[in-house]
Amino acid sequence: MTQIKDSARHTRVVPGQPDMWAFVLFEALIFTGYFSVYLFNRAQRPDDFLPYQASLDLRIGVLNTVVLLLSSWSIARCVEAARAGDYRKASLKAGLTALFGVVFFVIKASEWVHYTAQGNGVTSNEFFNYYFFLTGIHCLHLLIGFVVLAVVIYQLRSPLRRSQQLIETGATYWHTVDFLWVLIFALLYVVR
Amino acid sequence: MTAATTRSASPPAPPAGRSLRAVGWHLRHNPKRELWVAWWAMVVFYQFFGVIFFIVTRTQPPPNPALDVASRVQWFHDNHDGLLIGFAIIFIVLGMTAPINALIAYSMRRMSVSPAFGYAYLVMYSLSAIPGMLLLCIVLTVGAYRPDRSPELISWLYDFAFLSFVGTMGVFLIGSLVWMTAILIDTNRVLPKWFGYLNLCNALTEVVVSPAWIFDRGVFAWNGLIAWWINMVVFAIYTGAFIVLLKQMIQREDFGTGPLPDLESRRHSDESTASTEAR
Amino acid sequence: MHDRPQLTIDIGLVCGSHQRSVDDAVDRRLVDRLACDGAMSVGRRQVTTIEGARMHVVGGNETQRGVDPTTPRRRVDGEVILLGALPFVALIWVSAFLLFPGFTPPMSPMMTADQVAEFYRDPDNLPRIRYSMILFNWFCVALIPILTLIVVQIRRMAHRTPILSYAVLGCVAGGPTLFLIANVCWLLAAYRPDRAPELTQMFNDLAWITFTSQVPFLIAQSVLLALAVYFDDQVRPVFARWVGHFNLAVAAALFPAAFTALAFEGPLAWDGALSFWLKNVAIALWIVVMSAVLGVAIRRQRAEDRQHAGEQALA
Repeated sequence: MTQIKDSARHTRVVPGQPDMWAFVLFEALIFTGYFSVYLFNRAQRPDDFLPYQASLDLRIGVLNTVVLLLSSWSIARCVEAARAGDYRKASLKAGLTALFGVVFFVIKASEWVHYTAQGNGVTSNEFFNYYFFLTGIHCLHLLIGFVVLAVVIYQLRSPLRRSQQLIETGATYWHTVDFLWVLIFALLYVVR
Repeated sequence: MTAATTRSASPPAPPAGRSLRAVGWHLRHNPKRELWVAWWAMVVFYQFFGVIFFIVTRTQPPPNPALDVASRVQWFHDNHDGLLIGFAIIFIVLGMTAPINALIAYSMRRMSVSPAFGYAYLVMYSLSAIPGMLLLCIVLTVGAYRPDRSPELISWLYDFAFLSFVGTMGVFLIGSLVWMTAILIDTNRVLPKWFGYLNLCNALTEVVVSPAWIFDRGVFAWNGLIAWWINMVVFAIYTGAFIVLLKQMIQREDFGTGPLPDLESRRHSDESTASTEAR
Repeated sequence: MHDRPQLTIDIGLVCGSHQRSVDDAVDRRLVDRLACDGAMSVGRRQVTTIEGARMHVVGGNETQRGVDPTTPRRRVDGEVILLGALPFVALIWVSAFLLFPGFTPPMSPMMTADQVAEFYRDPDNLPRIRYSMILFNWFCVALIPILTLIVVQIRRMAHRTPILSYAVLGCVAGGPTLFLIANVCWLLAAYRPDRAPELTQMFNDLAWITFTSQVPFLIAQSVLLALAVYFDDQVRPVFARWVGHFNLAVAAALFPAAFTALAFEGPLAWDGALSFWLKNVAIALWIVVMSAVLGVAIRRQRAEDRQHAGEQALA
């Protein structure tokens, strides 16, 4: 009951719960903090960062980015389908998003194993401290994203529950995960 | 349903202002008095916490983990009186965390969720103060107690104290997640959803503290920019938010089991009740 | 046909976690009696269980199955068993206290590391230290069920919310846990008496400082209990007013012990009049007095239950 009232009040302003947007903003601020710390330390001691950054494989980074962008596309299609009332399609799209998320995670994990075996472990050098930290905390957000997707799919499955607002809220969160990854990709992989 | 049926025969309006008489009236007649007592205990406790940890004992922000043994002994020497007196005061007032946890557990009992949430939170946070705060206080007290103790032992106590404080964030992490879940599935609108998400932010920054167990210098050390400063800023915002939100919750409280009325409508209903009683 | 209890209770009034807001026409304990004595069939109205007060709300015209209302049965709730355990627990505590050579007389903080090591290495002391500490290990957690009885009594008080009982429950968790830390440190000190004297002294310090200064939850427990007593606005309060005053006095008596690390000798030192004797006597007195008060309260509660059950049988 409350949700209907809330969504009636808020659908005009932003998609999904405005509370989620507050969360997104806050997380973005925190990540900005992390990025600033990274950039500052890198500017201070470029020799501790740049040579190790060369070990990063740009191609895998690009692949990861593409996978997450695809997942963003599929969750957007899911929201569209839910709006149109085609809930079966929406469920499928949400499942597809989860699949892309899993692919991303698997690639990331194998990347981690690869770099650690190479000698660039978590504690090995300063660049990789930050690398593992940033990608690790991002993966944590991704894992939370799986929980969010589960909530979205749960909502879509039963006609009693389908709250458009909640589905859009979940989509917002997933887009944030994607957005954060793009920033991390740019910062860690591209900017040399 | 109205819950105003059992007010004892008392003047309908409390004395105005914040005099001692007004406080006394509220303690005797306000039906929400135990909630307010708990809320004020929370406010007072955080003042104590701030002053004692940040100013008197100077254990926050934490000193450098990379200090060598001689410098650590020097740190204990410099802070000797502050440590002993400050923590002695903490040993008296720390019990105030009990009403704080009780108030937060109560917020979950007021929600439409299972009582399990409130109880889980109560248990976790009741026990969390011991490894998460008191251990630091006890160990630093013992460290400062005998300045002529062997330097290696003092160094070990220094590590033990700060690692136990900074590193036991896991307890608070799970507690935040419990509260978050309760808020997000609650239909009684006890606390706003954005605060539920703020719990998630808080929990995530607690996770970020864990590198402190691995690094002893740099931004991931127990005094580092990422592991401590950003975490502490988020925690301060979070604490400020729930102090304000719990105050509003108490003001809105109608002792029912349905959705809590909004603050404006609550005030209007209070005024209309007062005016009808006055007639 | 069974007598049908006609209880038309407004759901809104009694649902939730408050006990006071019950209409005069309904005896809360009567409902409790009916609910506990047998199966209550659930009617069309929502049945709500209220924790602590164990109250089940039913709509009118429900049949009470399986229970003959003329012979009220008392549910065995075990509280007297818990309370009855106290003398044995107290016996263990007192024996352990007298057995530990470090309490009789209390060790001085002025002892040097070598003297402390000597204390733990002494073959007369070592077994007594270990056994007494093991006994203490049992005692401190054994106190929790008894302390929980106090929490249950607070729930019976005429408060609007259960928040005070939650707070005291939280304190109950804290006190014995802190004592366990001290206990473990003493046992550690006694485990390898041949280690370096400084290490033994450090464990001894940790134990003593923890044992003496860790009073926050005991203070909070007493203050909250006093508050609960003062807020208990009913004709016959669960605990008498003086229990509140007594608890505040005990809390005040525990204050000095928190400052024990500031002194090596004198009344504040961990073997001194304030930090050792006043604190421990106050705690012992609190346990004795609160147990007596609890016993009286439980006995009165049962008498009232019997009386109500009798009234219900007559109705």
